[in-house]
Amino acid sequence: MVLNHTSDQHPWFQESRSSRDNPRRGWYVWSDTDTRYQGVRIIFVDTELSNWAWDPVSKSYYWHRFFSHQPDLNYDNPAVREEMWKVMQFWLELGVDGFRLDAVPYLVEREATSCENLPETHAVLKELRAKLDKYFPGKMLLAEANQWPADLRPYFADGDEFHMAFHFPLMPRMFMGLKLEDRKPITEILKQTPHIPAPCQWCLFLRNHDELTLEMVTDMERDYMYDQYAIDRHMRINVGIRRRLAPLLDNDRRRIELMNGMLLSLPGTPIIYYGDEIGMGDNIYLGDRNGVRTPMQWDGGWNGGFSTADPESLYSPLMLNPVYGYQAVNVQSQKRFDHSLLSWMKRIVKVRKSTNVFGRGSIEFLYPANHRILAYVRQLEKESILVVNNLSSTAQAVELDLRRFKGNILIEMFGRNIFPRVGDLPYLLTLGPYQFYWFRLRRI
Amino acid sequence: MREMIVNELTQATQELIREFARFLPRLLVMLIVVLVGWMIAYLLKWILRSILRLAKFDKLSEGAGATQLLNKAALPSSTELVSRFAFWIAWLGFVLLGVSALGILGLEEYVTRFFVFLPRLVVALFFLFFGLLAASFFSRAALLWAVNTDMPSPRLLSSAVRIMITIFTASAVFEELGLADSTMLLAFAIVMGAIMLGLAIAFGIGGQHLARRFLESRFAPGKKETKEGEDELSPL
Amino acid sequence: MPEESILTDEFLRQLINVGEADILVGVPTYNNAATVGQVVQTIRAGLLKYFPRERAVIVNADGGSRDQTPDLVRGASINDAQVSSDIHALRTLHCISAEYPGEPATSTALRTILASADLLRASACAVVSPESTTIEPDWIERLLRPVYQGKFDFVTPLYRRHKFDGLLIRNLVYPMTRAFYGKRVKEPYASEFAFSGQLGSHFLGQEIWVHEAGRTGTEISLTIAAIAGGFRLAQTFLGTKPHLDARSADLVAAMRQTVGALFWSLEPNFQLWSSHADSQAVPTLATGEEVTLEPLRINRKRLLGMFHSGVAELEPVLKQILSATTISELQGIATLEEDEFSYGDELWARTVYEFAASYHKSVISRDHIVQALAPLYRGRAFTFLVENRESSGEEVEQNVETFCLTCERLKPSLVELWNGKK
Repeated sequence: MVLNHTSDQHPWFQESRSSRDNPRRGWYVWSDTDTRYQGVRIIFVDTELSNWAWDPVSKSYYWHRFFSHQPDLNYDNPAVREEMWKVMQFWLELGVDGFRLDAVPYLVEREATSCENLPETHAVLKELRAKLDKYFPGKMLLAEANQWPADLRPYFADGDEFHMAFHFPLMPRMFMGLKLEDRKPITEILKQTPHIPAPCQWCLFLRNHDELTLEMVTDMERDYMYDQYAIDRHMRINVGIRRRLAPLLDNDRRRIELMNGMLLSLPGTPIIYYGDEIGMGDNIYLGDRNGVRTPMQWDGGWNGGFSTADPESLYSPLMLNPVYGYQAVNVQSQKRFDHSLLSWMKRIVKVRKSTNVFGRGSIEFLYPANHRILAYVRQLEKESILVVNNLSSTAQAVELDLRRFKGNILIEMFGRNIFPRVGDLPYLLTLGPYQFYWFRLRRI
Repeated sequence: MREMIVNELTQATQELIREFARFLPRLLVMLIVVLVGWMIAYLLKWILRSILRLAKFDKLSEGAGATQLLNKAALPSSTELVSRFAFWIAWLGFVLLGVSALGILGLEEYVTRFFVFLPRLVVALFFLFFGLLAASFFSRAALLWAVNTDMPSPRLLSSAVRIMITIFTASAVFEELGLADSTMLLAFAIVMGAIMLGLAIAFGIGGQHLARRFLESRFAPGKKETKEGEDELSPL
Repeated sequence: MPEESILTDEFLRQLINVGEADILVGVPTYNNAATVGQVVQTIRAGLLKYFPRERAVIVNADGGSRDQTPDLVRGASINDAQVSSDIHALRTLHCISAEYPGEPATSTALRTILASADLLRASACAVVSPESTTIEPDWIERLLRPVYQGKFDFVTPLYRRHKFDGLLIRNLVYPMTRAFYGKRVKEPYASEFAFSGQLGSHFLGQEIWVHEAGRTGTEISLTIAAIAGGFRLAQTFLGTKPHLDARSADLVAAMRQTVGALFWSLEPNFQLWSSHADSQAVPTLATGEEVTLEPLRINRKRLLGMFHSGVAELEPVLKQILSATTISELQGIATLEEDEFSYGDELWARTVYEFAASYHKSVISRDHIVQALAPLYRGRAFTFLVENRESSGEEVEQNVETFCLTCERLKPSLVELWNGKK
């Protein structure tokens, strides 16, 4: 649910712009000049030149953090807040479990600030959460806030604001670590991630409907990511890369499995973007971010099973090439085979669900001298799980310091075979390219 | 009476001839042994000469300074000398062997003594050779060191080293040969002792600065060679 | 014949953890805690600035230091196990340090570094002296970039140094290396240089590691191996020459490491050096002011005195090495007064060539031959100091150039001496 803005075609805006005396005038952020809120960054750098747009109808400027046809609502206005609560109420009464609240950092503006993450914004959100808890207990709020981990922490407050938030900074670093063949970017960002209140949870993801954002990385890192993942200019938009998971990973089945393995074993709740479970491709020649929003490929037949309408009338063209086209990649064909990506995804989800440790447990990184290995231990009460990931394209050997777990037998979680017991010496493991292990540690 | 004399003479002559006849084969054997021995000795000399040439023995002896000595004494080169020496020793051995075949008493003992002496002679010669080599090498090393570290009287030092090693070698050789060994040993000990005492006194009293400089250059390499008021130049 | 490995188990384990590297910088050490910390930090800064995306490693081959040297090197690593860091680096930077077996020796250290480069498949490698306190981060760029781009295999440095610094290099090592091997490498005995992975593997396979002379003068042997192997050479200006420790101010040791190794190299490379007459320039990638002229107080008298003493006292030795003509010429100039004394280019070149021929024939112990050259070199050094007392940088370079051309001109005489009579 998008809280921050509406379309400029929305009746509210049409009214607001019609005259300065209109009752809805104060629902949006108007100004006679475009010099207010100087220095605030532009988000859609590829299309917008300013956060202010000139409205010829009311002869004044209106504030928009996103496209100019998406004017920002004015959250200083209690009427706006009341109305947005009513919108939420509508859906809650219909039975939704929760909301992904989009663009939450930008709700409120104040002079001489970045207009992001302001205390007033948090106040608005806390208000909404309070109402939610009062009238619709057991429903969830998930924040979409592309910020550094330290700046994300306030969105959890004391457990009285958001239940969950996307961990944006981690995601590009997982891709970076894979290309660098070095775990350093991943462990460093997780070390910087603050603790969150007990009832709260991070939301992890590899891709979504937007571009793979590179806002929360350094310039050097951004250049590296562009050179490695988006050498073709068509692949870049705003400050990010508009490609799907499979094309980003060169359709390499091992890398896709490894990334999903990390997604499902790092602390947080994983989100899988539609189509990535079958390895769908993208169309970088479509405008904006539409290249990753092509129709879901259900089967190899009419419109990929997406719709019975005329193909020419579809909102977006289907993927047609021999590698990612709907005849090659679709749910129907993958369901038939055990070795398909879809079947594998189902298996790994099942393994993850077999324990609470992944979802609720703590994380402790091991720092083996071989920097291409990302290894960590997840623990919840008495249960411990060791995860070892080989980020490199070549076979690796690693010695892990597992002295704390001496006496435990390692049980590999997919095949449930036993591995040697932990002794005094460093535990030697060898891994093939991009291979990973999940081991349950068991003392008998 | 005349008959007795003639008889005796005849008998004596016959004895002589008989003796001679008995002796002749032995003489023959001896001559054969000597001849064969000459051939073997010659072969030995030829083989030894080839081996030494291959091993570049001449060059080695040049290093020992032996070649220079030999040249001064108008003797042939080391290889030649050693091969000829080997020849003579081998042939002498065979001659003595042949002589012993003659069965002349008294000689046998000398022959035995000769053969016992032979290995010690060889060893002594080895000592001599390598001793001279060492003397030459170390005296030259001392000379070069003294010149390059700006020590006074480098030639004196070099000669001193050469003399000391030569004396030591000589006493080792004499001891091996068993010739006046105790005399030589005593002489060597006295000379060595005197030298050592003299050096100790000189070093301790007169050579303080030298000693300090020497020790400093060995154990405190941070100290530079230059004096006060000079800048350091590195050759590299 | 199986020989003991120069890589201990511990070293090998550390190499396994590094895995593979694009850039390797080797630092050979022995009790260098006073300077190595700063040097390694500068190397790291250079790597982070100029090669941020490349997999880099700093390898320290240590001879068994009893001070903090290994810890200072390891302290420069960048990895995620560290608690906090102000450094923004894209990747892990390994700084590994391990002791090689045997006694401390530059040759073993260099061999260890070469072996590491080989095992890690590094495409561009450099060696930096732990005493290079004048090092700047851009030295890393200047040395490694040409190799990393695949344009050259061996890059030697050019330094800014006083016109009287490095006299042995200017008066003997450079001209002779140039005359023999036909390449104008100004610093054939360098404390910093870079080489490609391919050249490094070639170095490892050389004979120099088993021979005493090759081991003593490893740096120059490597330069000669690069030239003899037909690899692509270049030189680049770095900056002020770092001062090496006092031990290498010892002339005889310096001569063993340079002249001894140079003479020894003539045997196996006879075909190469005897077959051409002139020399070619080596591409110079960056230039800078090479000669500084600040006034220095030098004890010239002592040099001349040691020359005189050498000619006089070493006569029996020199007689075995030099021809009669040369000796009489030397004795002739030894009688000159200080202000008339001059050890000319031609006489000096001839002297060195005769020494080289005698070295080849082993007229006496080869080490003694090298030692015997030292006092004669001092006479030459005296002449150089006197003749260039008032010279500018260019004039000094010109004089050196003239001497080099003399050496090249007289080279056929060495070939004759080599083959023919004594």
